[in-house]
Amino acid sequence: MSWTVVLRVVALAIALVGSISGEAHAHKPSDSYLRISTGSEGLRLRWDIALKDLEMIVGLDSDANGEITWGELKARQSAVFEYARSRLSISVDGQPVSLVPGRLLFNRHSDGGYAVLELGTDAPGNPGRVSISYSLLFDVDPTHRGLVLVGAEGGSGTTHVLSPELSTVEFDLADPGPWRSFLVFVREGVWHIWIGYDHVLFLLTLLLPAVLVRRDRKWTPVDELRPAVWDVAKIVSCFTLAHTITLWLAVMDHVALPSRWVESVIALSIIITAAHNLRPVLPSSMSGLVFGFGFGLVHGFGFAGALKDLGAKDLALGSALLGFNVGVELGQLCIVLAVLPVMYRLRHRAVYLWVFLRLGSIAIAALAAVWFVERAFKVEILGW
Amino acid sequence: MTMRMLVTSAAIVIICLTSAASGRALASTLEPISESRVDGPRVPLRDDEVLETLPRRLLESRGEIQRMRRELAAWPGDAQLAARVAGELVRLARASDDPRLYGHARAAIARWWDDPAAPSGVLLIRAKLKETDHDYRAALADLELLLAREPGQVQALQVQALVETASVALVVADFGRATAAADALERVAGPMQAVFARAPLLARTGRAGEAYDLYGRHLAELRERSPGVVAWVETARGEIAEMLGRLEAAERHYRAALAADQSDRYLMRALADFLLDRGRAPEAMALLENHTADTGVLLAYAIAAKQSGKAEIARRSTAELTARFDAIRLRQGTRHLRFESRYELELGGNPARALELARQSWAEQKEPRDARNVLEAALAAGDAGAANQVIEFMAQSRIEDVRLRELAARLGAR
Repeated sequence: MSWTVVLRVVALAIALVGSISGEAHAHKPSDSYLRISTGSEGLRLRWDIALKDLEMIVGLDSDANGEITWGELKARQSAVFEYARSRLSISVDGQPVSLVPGRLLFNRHSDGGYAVLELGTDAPGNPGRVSISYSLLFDVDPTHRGLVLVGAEGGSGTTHVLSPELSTVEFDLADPGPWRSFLVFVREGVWHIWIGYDHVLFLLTLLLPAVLVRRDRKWTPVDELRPAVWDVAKIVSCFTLAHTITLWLAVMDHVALPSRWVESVIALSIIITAAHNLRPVLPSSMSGLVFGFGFGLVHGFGFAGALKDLGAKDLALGSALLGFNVGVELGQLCIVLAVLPVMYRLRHRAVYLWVFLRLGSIAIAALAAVWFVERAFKVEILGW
Repeated sequence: MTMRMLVTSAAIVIICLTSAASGRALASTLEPISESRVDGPRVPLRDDEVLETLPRRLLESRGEIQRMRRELAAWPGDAQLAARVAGELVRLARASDDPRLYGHARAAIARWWDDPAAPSGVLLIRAKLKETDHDYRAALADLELLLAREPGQVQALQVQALVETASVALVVADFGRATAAADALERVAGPMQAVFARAPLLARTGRAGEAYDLYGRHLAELRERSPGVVAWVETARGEIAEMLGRLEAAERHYRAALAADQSDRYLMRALADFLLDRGRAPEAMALLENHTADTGVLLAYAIAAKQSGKAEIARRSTAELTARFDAIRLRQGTRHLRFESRYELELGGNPARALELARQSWAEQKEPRDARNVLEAALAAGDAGAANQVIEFMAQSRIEDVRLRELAARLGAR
């Protein structure tokens, strides 16, 4: 290959590589915004589609002067509606609905001008479950996304992102009502305790000695189940009470602690509790309550982040807090009920004292120590 | 008694598991709706009101694109045709600043998107598209696939792939790979042509002076034979000069680049940052004024406006940036973390958030600007430890950059 040709190829490569990679391009790829709402006129849609996209598909710039005017857009109104309707199918409560073209308007978004298509439907009043199948532009632009916005403008609502890989979505339009919202938060609470392995580990560490009691500086198994259950109940209640208080304080922004500190102290709480299992200092009747309450205060801050991310502050706060807390309690209850019978049955055996309590506490303390270092010094050792 | 407890516990565990796992729609988020609306929907008053302007390049090529699409529709399995169409669309995307065209390019090669045996021309485009999406590892993998094939194949493709490999490898600071690509390019195309891969690598790995000289030696010849790359080379020389603290030379190079190409936004951002660093914000504003369609340019423009005391312009530009970032977040798209970090620091006054974003960005890409973002944010947030990774990287790569060194020193002195 001749010298000049190579140079041209390289120059071509440079042009293609262009300005160094790592610099993002200007705007974003193509989106459309499909807003769904119910009102006195039934189920209605407002669909914002970019003029640049419509230009490529149906052609708008009839005089080919590089400018799309309102007149040009109006002239292509029926073609625009036809294309849009052909790429959207909606069913309500299992019944397909037809889309009725309404007004055409204009809207400006951060990346340019959009045609706004108002569409009515023949859906019956009080629509419940809505199912949408979307295929606008995917055949010519797989980076296009359909953003389905459900709910009142400006207020809270849901956004569903539709793509070639996920082009259908189902949701309930009816207002969930306070009971269902409450249940949503209960579910979130259970979920967050299940994935909050550091909280779970703390709880387990705290409960390990519950089926034993210290007599004469030695661990002995309790004689009956009931005192053990009662102790566990007290410990978990103290933990619950403490983290409820701080969860409320944090979500209401009355107290704000840096998350790095909170996460580190949570790890520390596990270390201290585990260490105490190995070398008890406090009487066994007290230690669970003291640690449960004291460290529970810090754990509450740990939950607050999750609850805040769910937008709790803006929604019905009381119901959200209560629901989330109930969820956390249910989750904890699950764990306790799963673990306690096993602990009780094994309490006599040496394996319980040596493997579960002692070796277990050492292992837990070691893990928590790694977490502490990771969190306090912002390094990654284990990555989980 | 214990049996009953066990059964009850099991039942409750199962109930909790199913309740926690059900109904978690992954694609949806619960958050206040805020589209990227600037105004609300309205009925325009006049038929001749212009609603959208199509970029000139797009306009000129419209007939061409339609013709290519028709051809592609007629011959869907023709990989060479698809690669050509996609390549043209990518060029247009660059020139018109419209990422939707990258999407159209992707549609052109859609049938080969997941195919490891895709033809080489398609692989090259695929790599380029993945790179624009910040999927650098995947882009490098595709390029490697291409280069692993018979070297006897189309040399032009091989050369392009090597230049691209060197460039992308530098973004993720894979210096070994970049060196290998530069060496291979030298073998295939000759030392002069390899300058484009070699010099940027040298500049980042402690041999900036050498890189500078390398460009300088070949500039005259380049100017004669391939004037299209002069702007690129002068920009690169300007950046190196800035790294070495040779400020007058840096400005000379940037101005020379600007004379060769007045619309290169990368150059504009580089020169604007240079001017901002020298406290010449009004000059930066004037430079960037008409190019704020580009988000990086808009960011620099907003910062320049703020530093010039033009409060109203700064406010409006910041609001526009916010709208753009929000729109990307809403679509769950690839974020401009590099820009967002600087936006949070300089316009949002939020060093903690800026630091978090800068570190996230650093995980993906490791260019000097990304390092600088981390160091500046760490300094502003008073969190020297957060910059440790970057400082270590600087030591390992031996990069010579007076600004980075100064920032690191200030952090160390805390």
